[in-house]
Amino acid sequence: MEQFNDEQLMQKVKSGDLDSLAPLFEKHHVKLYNFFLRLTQNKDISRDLTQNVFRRIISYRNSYDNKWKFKSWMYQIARNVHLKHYQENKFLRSDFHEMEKLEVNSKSALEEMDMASKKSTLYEALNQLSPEQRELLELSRFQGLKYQEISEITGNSVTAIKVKVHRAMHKLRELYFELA
Amino acid sequence: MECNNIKNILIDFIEGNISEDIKVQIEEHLLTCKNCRTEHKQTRQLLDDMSILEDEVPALQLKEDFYSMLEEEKENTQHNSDEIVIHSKKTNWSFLKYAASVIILLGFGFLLGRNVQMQSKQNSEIAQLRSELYSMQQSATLAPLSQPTASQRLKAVNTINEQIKLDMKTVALLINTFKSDDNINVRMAAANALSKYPESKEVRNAFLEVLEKEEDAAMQITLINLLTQLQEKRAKETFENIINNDQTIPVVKEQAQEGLKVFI
Repeated sequence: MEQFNDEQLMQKVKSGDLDSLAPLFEKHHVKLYNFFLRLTQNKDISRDLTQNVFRRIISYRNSYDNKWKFKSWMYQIARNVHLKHYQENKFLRSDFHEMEKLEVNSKSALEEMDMASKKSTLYEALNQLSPEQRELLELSRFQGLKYQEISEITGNSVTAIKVKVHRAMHKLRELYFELA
Repeated sequence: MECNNIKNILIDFIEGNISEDIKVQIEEHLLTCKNCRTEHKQTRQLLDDMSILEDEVPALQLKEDFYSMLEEEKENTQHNSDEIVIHSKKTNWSFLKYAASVIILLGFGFLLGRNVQMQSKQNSEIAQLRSELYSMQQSATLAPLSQPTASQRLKAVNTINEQIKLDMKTVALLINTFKSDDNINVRMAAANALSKYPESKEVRNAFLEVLEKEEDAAMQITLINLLTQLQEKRAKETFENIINNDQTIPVVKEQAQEGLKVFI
């Protein structure tokens, strides 16, 4: 079977071959789901938002330009989806207790407790950052995007993003060790 | 190397994304600087701990939802293209061309006539809507001037200020707020709004009246400026009183001196 890269697949989607979206979904949906999960800390919402991104990709497929990296374009849509959700649901507070329960690792009880407490501290610290900082850390640290890619997504210069990420990490470190 | 420089590349240092000579410089610095050592240790631990937040596998429902959405969308697009195919098979092209040009011409004429009509109708509708909106804004903004908190009243004054034209009733209310509100900021905003009505005698009188008794320096300066701009001759005496008053602070006196020059 012939292998297509993301951009080629999206080009096919654009020209009407919607089935080509399936491999793109398979490749990216877990990352995308976790992008929303860490920002919203709510599984149901994250599932809906992930679905929304792919729905929008279909609706806006004609506006895709293959000079863009598919991933950058997808995260741009994801940001908008999250922003819209955030504005509409400012009052909703996610809870990460639900998440802790669902840990299914075969680690020792002590280790698991330690991890759970680290995790909740980390979330608490992340929650105290500004939405912009959280999103930047999400893209750069958790999604593993390069500064160049983030620059394409957010429209900021690479240097500006570098500085912002550093500031956000600095702030996160302070908060994390204050809470720990 | 300076501590600040180190802080900016600490993450790159930990992750090994820097050149060998900078790496050596940082290592040397860490040996001597306790602050940076702590920061280095904490950053490393933070990065370690952040890796705990690994990706979770979403519930299967996400996949199911996606594929059912995909099927739905495929059906929709399929449906649309089917319709187009059927049409093109059934139509006689040369006939269609004539029909199309006739329709286009008719359409043009119709739209043209309609546009002319619509426009005049629209204009009068817009005018009516405007006047309705205007009177609505007026009545909506009057009530809030007597609200309990200063910030609410301030907001009300500012809303009034944004309007293009005020009626006498609103101006009178603004004067009242300007004279007697407890909060200096609300009064200041009211003064600012009133300054748009220099031709009104009531406004000028209010400015004069208040300035004579005013004790707040910022308000004094604002009023002196306003009255100077308005070239209100009656202010001359008030300005002189301010200058001769021992209680007046120097900045205000200076402002009044400047103002007097206009009247000479």
